[in-house]
Amino acid sequence: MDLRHLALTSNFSGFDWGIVAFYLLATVAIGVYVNRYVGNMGDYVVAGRSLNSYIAIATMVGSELGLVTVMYAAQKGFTGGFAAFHIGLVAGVVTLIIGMTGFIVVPLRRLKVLTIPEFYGQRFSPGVRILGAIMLAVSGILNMGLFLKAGALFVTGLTGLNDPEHVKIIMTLLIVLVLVYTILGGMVSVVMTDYAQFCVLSFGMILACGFAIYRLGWGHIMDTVQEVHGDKGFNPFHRDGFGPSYIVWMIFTAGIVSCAVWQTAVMRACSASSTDVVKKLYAWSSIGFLIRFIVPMFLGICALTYFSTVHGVTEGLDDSEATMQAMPIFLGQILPVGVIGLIAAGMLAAFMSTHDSYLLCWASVLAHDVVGPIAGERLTEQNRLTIARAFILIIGVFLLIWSLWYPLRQDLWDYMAVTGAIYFTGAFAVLLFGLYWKRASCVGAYFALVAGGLSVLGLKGVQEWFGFEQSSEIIGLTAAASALVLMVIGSLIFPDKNPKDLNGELA
Amino acid sequence: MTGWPLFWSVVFGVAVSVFAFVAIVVAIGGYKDVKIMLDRLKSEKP
Repeated sequence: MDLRHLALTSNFSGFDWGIVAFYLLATVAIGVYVNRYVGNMGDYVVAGRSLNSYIAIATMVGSELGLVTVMYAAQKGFTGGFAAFHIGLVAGVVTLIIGMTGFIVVPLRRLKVLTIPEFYGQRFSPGVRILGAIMLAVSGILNMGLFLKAGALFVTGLTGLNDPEHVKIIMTLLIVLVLVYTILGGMVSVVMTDYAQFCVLSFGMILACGFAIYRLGWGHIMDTVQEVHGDKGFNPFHRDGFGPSYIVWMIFTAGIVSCAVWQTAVMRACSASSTDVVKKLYAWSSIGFLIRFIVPMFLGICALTYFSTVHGVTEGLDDSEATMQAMPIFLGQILPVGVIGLIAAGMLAAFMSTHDSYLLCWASVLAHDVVGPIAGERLTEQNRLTIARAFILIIGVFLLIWSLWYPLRQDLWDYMAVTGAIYFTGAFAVLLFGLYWKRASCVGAYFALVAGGLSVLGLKGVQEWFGFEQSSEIIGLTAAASALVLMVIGSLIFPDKNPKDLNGELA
Repeated sequence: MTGWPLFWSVVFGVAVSVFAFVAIVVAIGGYKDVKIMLDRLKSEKP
């Protein structure tokens, strides 16, 4: 049987739709309610830097454990087996190390910046800030470009909806709801909804794992992975599977970048009430960073077991869209009425939560770091808020269009790693040397940012356009290494005439 | 069960158990923090 031609049957009922509708409406009501607390850009972007430890952890994990994360991680589990767990293990261990050392995130919090490009402006020049902000926003918006498609595949798989028109209507409705409460409430409403989502999704996912193991049996799951994937389904170093270069790429992307360089995660560090809270936030969130990969990957592995043994699926196991939809179809067929509604509500809330965080993040970067420096003192706080809200609306419309026509030619996780790399390969070099090397210069920063942009060559669509083929991890690692080297060379050959000293602020 | 299958079984079991504990602690602590955050923003609003 072919995975691409599975019938979308589901246990999803009217009662489950009721749970979903109630949950989503309550979420929007919270966003509208907290709008009264938003007074300025600081409240809007980083919740007035008023987050204490527990709520900071909940919002960090809530935001990072989104529906899209669940979808791409489940797909990785489906296509890679237990060997894919190495991504989660790396993410958890690196986040713990960042929490213990405060590497990158503590100095950023000390500088009291709202965004990473603002740091570029303080450390280097307004030009570096504007270029960095544009690259960050373009990379981030492309990165979330397929969120709606992933959400649509999830909804069709879980609910059994077959009509594509219904899916489009649901996705449009969701993005409108997200736009309403993000535009109104900013970070305060994001924090509130992230907290609710953290509670529902954390316990919902563990419950789903329990159902899956009860239904399939642990030994049976292991045997199926061995049968379908062989040794490469367990050993991440296996040369026919992920391999060493992919693991190094994951240490960089899923590890260091995800928690210390990616703007949405760094925003949580900047929102914390003190540097001690930042360290505690990262140390405690490390288990969340581990779980956000491992649990959905396990559900993907269970979907593989279910379809291989119950439905006898042997074809279409490498089709991007089919493998992404396998996990929600599986959940729709094994979970009972009520539980499935709760999981759906949690997942859709997660979908909205990731969207609101990302929309807020990229719009704030464009307003604060591109329009702000260009317009200078002419912009009032109220003008900046209005511009940020306008950007949220524009990005929302772009996402609807992009998700409809861009064909996914690789695993969603790899697409996201590559689009993110356009920004983070250069940004890592600029942050690392900008924070820890006094001789880092503006020219070096420009070189590093431009070198990072070469990561776009990792996209399969771009490779087809230029007529070559190379794995995304090799391209990403090459771009990252080039950015580091060029940052050093540029700084040594073209040092700043009046180097800025941030040691006072960093102390 | 030995080797990699055993290793991933242990990683999964430990991770899910620890996360369940952390989720309970954070859910309770987070509720209190939400109230503190809103009070703080309310008092600072002009």
